[in-house]
Amino acid sequence: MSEAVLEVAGLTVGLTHDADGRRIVRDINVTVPRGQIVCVVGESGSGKSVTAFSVTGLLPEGLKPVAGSIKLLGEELIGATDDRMRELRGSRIGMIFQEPMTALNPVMTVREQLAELIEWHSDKRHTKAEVDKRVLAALEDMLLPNASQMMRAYPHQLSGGQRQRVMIAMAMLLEPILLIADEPTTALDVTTQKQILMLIKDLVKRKNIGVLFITHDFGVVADIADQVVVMQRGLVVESGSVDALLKNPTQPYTRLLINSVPKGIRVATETREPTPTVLEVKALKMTYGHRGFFGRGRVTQAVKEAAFTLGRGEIIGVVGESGSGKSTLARCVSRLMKPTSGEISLLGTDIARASNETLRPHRRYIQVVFQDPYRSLNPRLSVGRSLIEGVVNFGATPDEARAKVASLLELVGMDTQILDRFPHEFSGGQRQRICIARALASEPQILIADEAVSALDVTVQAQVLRLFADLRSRLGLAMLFITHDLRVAGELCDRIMVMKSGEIVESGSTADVFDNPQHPYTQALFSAAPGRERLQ
Amino acid sequence: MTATTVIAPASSPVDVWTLVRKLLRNRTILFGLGVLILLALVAIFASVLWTVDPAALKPRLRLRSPSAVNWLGTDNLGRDIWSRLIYGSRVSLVVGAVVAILAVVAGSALGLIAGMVRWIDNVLMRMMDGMMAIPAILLAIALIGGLGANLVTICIAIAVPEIPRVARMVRSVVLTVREEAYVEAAVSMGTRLPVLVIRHIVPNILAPLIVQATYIASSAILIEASLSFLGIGMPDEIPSWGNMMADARLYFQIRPGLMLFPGICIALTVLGINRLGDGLRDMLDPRLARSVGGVK
Repeated sequence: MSEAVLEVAGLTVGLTHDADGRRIVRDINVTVPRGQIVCVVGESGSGKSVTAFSVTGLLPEGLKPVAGSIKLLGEELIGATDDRMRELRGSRIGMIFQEPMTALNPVMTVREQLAELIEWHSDKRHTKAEVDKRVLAALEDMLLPNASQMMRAYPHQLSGGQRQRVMIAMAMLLEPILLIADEPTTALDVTTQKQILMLIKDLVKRKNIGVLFITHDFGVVADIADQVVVMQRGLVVESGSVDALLKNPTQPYTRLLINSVPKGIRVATETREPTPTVLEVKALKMTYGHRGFFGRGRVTQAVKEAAFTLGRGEIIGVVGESGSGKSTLARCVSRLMKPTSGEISLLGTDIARASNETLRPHRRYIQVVFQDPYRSLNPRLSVGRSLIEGVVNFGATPDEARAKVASLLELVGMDTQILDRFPHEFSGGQRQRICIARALASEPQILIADEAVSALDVTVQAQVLRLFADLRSRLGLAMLFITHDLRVAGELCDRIMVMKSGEIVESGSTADVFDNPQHPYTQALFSAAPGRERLQ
Repeated sequence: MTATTVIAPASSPVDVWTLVRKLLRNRTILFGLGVLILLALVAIFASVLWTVDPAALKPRLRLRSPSAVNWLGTDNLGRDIWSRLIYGSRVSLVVGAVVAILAVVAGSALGLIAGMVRWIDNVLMRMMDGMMAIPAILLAIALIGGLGANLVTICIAIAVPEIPRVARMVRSVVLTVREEAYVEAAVSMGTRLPVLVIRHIVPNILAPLIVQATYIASSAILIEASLSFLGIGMPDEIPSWGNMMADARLYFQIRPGLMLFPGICIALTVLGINRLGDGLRDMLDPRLARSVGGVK
């Protein structure tokens, strides 16, 4: 085994002011050898980010390492002065984060930000030409086409993938030996994620550096890791080489994590008979913006001529990357937005252009579950009041509504005694269950799930997906399942529609789309799905 | 009922007490509240606290220095300054409170309409922009010119220029909140617009509105004083701090107290209200608080 760049031994982090001696992470051992990628995997709250912050010396206020050692090429980092740590960050340790937009300065061009780094970390003055040359080389190193144009661009002019490349260029500029990547691809589309992962893998080979890669996604791990460290509740559960760990995980938690990764294979493959149609969408169009007074102005066609039918008990997956129009489609169908033109026939009534007043009685048949469980419940209302709102709106007395809501909570697997509690007392997964219960309260025929599982940890995601499948078979609920993740769609949906720039480019039964994707874009999505080969 | 009563509801009266205690622990708020309560007591009990009839003209006793009878001396017409100050507090406090309430109520109504009904928004907001383009005091002078000067018209004249500021703030909060997923969920559950606004949107604007109200109150007191000073405010027979300063213009070199005492009263009142507003802002919206060196 090659020389170790980073050795973390027995690291324990505790609260600065805490008499109980609580520990955020305990006895962490991680070794990053040169030329290898070590992935730290865990769900939210497992302590993976705290571990990374300890190495960079950037622990949030109130946390401090209380035991163990962190050695960078043999130099002890615990107890190193702030000045020394600042020197090391950037020059020896490079860092990249999840959201590159917040990590880049919005009022400086790419060149200025990279040039600033060069000037800070060297004693002698550089001429402008020299700096330009180094910046250009650094950007070209990231396989950015048009690097010379990119230098003059501001962060908002770049795409998510380009920004992340610029971030990596900044992290790599001073030739560090250790790169710490904290969920660097989580905010990116799959196809972009694939490119960034390839780039990091390539950098490791070319520059012979070590990478500490924090992620929650075993698919990503399978694609890039050499070594894996699995964390749960502040402890290392299991660690080892990626091959051994994926083939024979010894710990049940590791097995649970690996099994929770959606594989894109339908669990139940019952074939359904043609059922009565509950929703029929024809030639639906949604155009944003309007032509200005002089015919100028920008017009975006978010949805172009969408058409599909949804039968009772059927689940259709709408898959696409950000900006593909899938959320606009969902918002039009649920009439949170008035489509520009087209027809939405809900149980035989066209609601596409109906006024709010005529629409109200029909709203109960179509309900939405949103992506962010933290924003979908009014923080000022008790769970009970949020839940009964819809039932009361459709004519029940508050007491009837409470009884009904209690039975719904049972249905989604929540305690029925939580009605007087407030949303902040619940975890993301619990909140999403509450939101699902709320959506079911008005006895809808159609449930629209707009990225409803994207913000959840994999194990929770798997539970919520099972809940959806269960609700479908018990209540005969039809669903429009919006997701960016083909694997998730594959597990749950009967049919899949793939959207790209507002158009449905491919649709068919899940089996057909998965076995034989026709459209090149669908094929690209498949090949970009992380962990495709190794996790099947 | 179901067994839901086992867990104590979090919105019990206990919360009110914690809020009060939190209010009283904050020194900024305590100072502001103290000044205001003192002034309110003075205004309410003015008829008890006065020593000499504030309207009585005694030309023989004009421009006297402080004495046992005239505690702070007399003005150019021989009126007692202490008693006039006591009565003047009524005008300032009433103007501050009424203007704040008028501006907040009208402004938030307009702001809510603009935020919720998109097609009105443009029309309404351009009108507000137009109003904001005119200096508040000029607009107030024009309104008083048209309406005549008494307590009611002065309050209206001062409140109208403040309305656009409140409307803008409310509109911007409404525009953010209405995009929240919980508001959309309520829409898809068929919640009617009035209920939607009251239950899900209004609670979000209360905190900034309370803070804004204190700033409006203090600026209203200043504007009233300026209008009176310019001679177009409260009628001369009603003592107000602004009137007193206006009367003192020609004599304050002989008797600085004529100008000084009402000036101090105005400054203290405005300071008190502003401190209250700062304290409330820091408490209700921690994001706006000055993180370094902020009053803890």
